[in-house]
Amino acid sequence: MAWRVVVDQALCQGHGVCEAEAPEVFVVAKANTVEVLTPLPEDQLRRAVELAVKYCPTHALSIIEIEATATTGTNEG
Amino acid sequence: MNATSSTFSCRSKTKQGNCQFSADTVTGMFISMMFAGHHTTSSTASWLIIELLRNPEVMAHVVGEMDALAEAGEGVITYQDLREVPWLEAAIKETLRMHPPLILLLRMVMEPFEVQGHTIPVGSLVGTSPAVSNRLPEVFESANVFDPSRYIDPRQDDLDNPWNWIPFGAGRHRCVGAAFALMQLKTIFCVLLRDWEFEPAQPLDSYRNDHSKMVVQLSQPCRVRYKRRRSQSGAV
Repeated sequence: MAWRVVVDQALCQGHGVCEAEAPEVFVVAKANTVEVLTPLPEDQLRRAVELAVKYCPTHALSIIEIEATATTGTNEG
Repeated sequence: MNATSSTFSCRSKTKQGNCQFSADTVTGMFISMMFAGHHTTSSTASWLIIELLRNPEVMAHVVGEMDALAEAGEGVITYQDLREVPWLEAAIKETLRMHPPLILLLRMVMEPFEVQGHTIPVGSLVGTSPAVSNRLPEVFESANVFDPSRYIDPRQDDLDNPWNWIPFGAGRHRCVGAAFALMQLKTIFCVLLRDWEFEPAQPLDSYRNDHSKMVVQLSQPCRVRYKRRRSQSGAV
């Protein structure tokens, strides 16, 4: 089962907690909202991304499980 | 205060160059920042002690967790340690679910919407209640039962139901102090439970909220006994 990172840009306020948890996946430039570097991270980053989801102060992040074949066509993140 | 307010309000300008917030608004924000974290956290701390007394098996888990932390760090408990205390964190979350200190959240309607045949017009204030939402039986299994295992891996009832589990609200105006409040409660309890043990000083079902004031608070009397975990004892 593949998974991807989803950001609700309406909620992100650019605190940068996610970048501290998973710098391989998230970048938050100063006075900016989050940029997801890899919406489909490697499995070994799963724990770090889960912590980013858990500790995001505005609950702007989530992980969705996806079918391995349907990995394109959305604009989240 | 006035000078401070003007400074802050004029940092944030509209496209026309006017101050985005009036001095009154900024003062109001300061006041809510300063006071919103007082009674809410103290009410949650009180209810957490009461729920731990009502649920000794949860108390045992939490105290065990705190003792293990203190032992591993030889008495020093770090910020990182307090991120990894699943039972304490789950007990706090469950306390917040069952006894949210704020029971009415108001939201301004920005787009009209329908509820059961009624159109709610733009500009209306809509009230939602965490006290109701947090106990919806169709969302939370045995909604009236204090069960911290709802948040013990792999369960995460709070994150799975972000629009129902709302002691901190949800969405854009979710509590700005939520992370601080959780860390503050963890900090308080890791010291409190390391040094003291508690027992009820009145029947366990006699601890209740008083809803007659503007903010929800515990009805008086609300007493517990405490004693030092090794020798001395005292009472509040």
